[in-house]
Amino acid sequence: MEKTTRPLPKLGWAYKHAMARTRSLVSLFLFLFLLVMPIALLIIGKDNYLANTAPNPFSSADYGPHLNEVLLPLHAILGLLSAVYVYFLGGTHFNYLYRRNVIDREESLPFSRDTQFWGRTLAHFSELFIVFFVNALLTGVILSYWGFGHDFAAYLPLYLSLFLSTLELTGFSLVLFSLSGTLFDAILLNLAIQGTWIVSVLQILDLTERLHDTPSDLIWFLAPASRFFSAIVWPHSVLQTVAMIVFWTVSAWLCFRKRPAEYAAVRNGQLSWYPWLQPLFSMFSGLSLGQFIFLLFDPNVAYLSPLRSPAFYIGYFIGLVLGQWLSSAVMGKPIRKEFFRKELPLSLLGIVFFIVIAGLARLFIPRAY
Amino acid sequence: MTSQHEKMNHRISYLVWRRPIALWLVPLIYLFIVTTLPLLPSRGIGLFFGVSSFSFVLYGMSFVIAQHFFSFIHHLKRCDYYFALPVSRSRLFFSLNLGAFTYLLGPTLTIMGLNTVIRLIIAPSSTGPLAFWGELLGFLPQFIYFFLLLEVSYLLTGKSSTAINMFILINVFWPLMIFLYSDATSRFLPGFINPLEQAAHSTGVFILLQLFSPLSTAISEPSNYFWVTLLMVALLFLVAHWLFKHRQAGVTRGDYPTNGPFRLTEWMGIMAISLLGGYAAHLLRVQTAANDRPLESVSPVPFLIGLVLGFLLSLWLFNIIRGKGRILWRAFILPALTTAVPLIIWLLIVLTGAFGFTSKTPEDASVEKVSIRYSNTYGAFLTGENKPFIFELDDEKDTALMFKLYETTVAPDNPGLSVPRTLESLEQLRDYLEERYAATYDDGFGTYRIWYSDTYITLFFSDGTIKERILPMPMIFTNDDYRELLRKNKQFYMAELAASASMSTVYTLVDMETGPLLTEKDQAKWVEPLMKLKAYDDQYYDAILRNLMSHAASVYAVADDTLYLEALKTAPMRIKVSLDLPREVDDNREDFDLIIPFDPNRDIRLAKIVEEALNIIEDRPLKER
Repeated sequence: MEKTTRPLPKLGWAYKHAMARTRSLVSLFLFLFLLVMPIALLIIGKDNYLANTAPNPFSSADYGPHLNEVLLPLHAILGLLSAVYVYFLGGTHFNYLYRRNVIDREESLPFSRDTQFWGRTLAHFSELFIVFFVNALLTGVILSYWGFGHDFAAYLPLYLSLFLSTLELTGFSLVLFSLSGTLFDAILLNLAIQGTWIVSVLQILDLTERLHDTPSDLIWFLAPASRFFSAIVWPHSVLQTVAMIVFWTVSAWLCFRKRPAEYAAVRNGQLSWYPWLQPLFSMFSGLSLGQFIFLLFDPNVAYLSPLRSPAFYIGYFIGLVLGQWLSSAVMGKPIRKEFFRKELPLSLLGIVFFIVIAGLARLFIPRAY
Repeated sequence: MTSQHEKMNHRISYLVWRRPIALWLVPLIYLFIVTTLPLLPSRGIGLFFGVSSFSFVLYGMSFVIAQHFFSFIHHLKRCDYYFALPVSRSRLFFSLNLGAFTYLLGPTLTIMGLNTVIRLIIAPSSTGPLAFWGELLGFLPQFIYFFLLLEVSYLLTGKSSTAINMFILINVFWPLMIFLYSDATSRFLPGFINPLEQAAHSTGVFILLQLFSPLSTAISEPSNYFWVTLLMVALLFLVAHWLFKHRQAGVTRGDYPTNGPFRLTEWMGIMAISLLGGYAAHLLRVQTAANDRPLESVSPVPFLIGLVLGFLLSLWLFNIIRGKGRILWRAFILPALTTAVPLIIWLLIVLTGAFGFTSKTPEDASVEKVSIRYSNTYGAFLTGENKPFIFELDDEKDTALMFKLYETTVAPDNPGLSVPRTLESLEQLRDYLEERYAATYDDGFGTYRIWYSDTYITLFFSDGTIKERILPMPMIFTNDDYRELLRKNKQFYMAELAASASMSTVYTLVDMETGPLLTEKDQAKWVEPLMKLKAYDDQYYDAILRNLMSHAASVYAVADDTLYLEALKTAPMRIKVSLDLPREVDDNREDFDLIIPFDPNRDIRLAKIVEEALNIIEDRPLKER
């Protein structure tokens, strides 16, 4: 009897299975996307669309070259929905990483980690594309049928920019999905990094007098979700976005390959890489508390820069410690008696972060005023 | 034996009290930063020092504390361990709750104590800290109810994430569903009294909302319902105790046999999201509508499309949650039926106008009595009080005039009453009346239109039928019947004056004159300062007079006529009211002149207004203004 061997499953198999697993979710989000744009347009109706988008000499509103009064709110809702979609999809595809019994089974399947990762990642990208494509197609058909094809053509670059931003957010999220021990921590950390980064950089730019009306691209570096909305006002470079997509996705791949299966169900605070991220939170907490104490206690608040005030530095140092401690407590890091011996020096890295970002801003960004 | 007992006590206290120190430190540090630090520099006093800071901590920490103290219930091994301890379930329950509430309330009360000490050191005579304690303690039962409801969620479910999700969803969907259905019904059926409106708000509504959503009642001054909430806390504590005692040990994670909580959440969610879809589609259509107001005809189709889409979406969404990402076709049937049936019945009722709910009146009966509820009087400006009152008309001619006003509103030609009704029906009805009766004024800079808020009216018919409605009614000077009613019935005129400034229906000119019995003491104490004020700040003087007029008129409106006649003879001061008629009306203005006597020595509320006014005058010396 001749012995037959079945070929090992390849990328296509992993991709197909990943697509099949999220079919219901994709259909649901496709429905939501259609509700937000083409169905909403149908409910508004052609006459009302025309009346609302007709040039009005008395209106001072400026919707830019891409949007009009009707498309602007729909696009904003679409931005929010896209962010939710990215998190739900990512969570569904990579949820297995956080369940001990499931990851053992998946890891023992006869294909490599690369196949696992790229199968799921490509499925993720394809599912984003399908939803965006169908939505654009139907919106385009409706607007063209009504005779407003030019509106759709004008809107398309912004729509494509939104799509690219969702890919960038996906890449960024994949890094955190690959690094984290629980899904809750992965999403919390994702939101926390973006929020603290954007607020900290804005504060630093303001302190160093580098905050322009058109903000520096530095702000968007660790906050890809903000591009969903900032692109409406400040167009982003397509090349830069594509570069970021590649950067985050490749980083995620490298993190995924090295990820020990034992990370499953372990809080992020107990993982070895987490202390290197904490200075970001220390910096944020230091800056915020520093500004707060400065506003409260410095009598020269009206005409003195916080950087020249002792009150700011007192608040900054207290904030550093508190930020370090809080970020440990929230992420499930065991806080022991030797906290001050081990963690305090790490929190000082928040100062290094601050100095580096402030230095970069001073070097490369001209003074704002 | 004693040693075993001691060991057990030690074990229990270890389980209850050995919790991470962060549970105390995180809220303590946060509250210290946002409430204590701002007290220290003089300019920061009061900054962030509000109940909201404490509420934020208490609501947030409720989730953390519940997870720490009650998540064992969802872990097979830990649950077995807890329930195998040689203590009764009741004792375990009380011990865990004692610990949980200490951790939950401890940091807040500690910081409150510290803040009070600091405030008393900075300003020893200040009454602020004590008042704030009162405010916070008024809120406490609500926080406790919030926590207990979360605890019940833990006890009813098989997984912590399910418990938290269910709790959040119920807290959101329950008030949303009540709000949407009561609001939509009042829009479809003009006159329907929305129970959530301020005028109709009651303890029953508060209980209904708080039942599943203590978060939603946080904005409706829960301290007013302190005892009701306390009673609900006691009942919920008993429920939680019962559930804890009867909770099965040995249930594996995520495998709890009760599916009731999910079904309830699903039902609320589908009902709320369906109607939300209807609202979204309708408002999208109406807000972008090209034609100007008033809208003559509005189609119910966008609302129905939105409703169907919302219904499908919510069914789908909950099905995916139930199937953990997969569609379960059979699981569609029950939720679809349990929600579609009440939804369709409600829809049929409101679309058809609920069998003449707004327009139909008894054919063989006359109106015997009419009462009007005035819920928003002008006095709130100075005294912070709002004294609602009910005015009744029972004279045959008066009720006939009032009924004519009512019939004007519900006339069949009003587009707001056409069938099928829509979410826009009430607005259409209002717009139609406004178009016909709004008064036009010219203030020298331009013309502007005046309209007013709705009227809360109750009609009592001779056959015993009672119609209680909140409706837009043409109770405005441009309406002949309204003017006739004012001329005929002085007390009704007073009632309208009592609410005039807040409702903007009666435009009056007011001035003060002395009465026959003004004493020298009164003259020096408050009459002269008020008279002087007129020369310096006529707008402020006018506002004070309107406060006095509003309060005095609200008393005379519901009192016997002899009180008014007696006051005319004895009151030290009078307010002379004349009307500023709109350009559409040619009537003789003198027909509407009225004298309102007032005596702060006899009426404590009037005395309070005068006192407040004099306090403000003292704070702002006349020369400085």
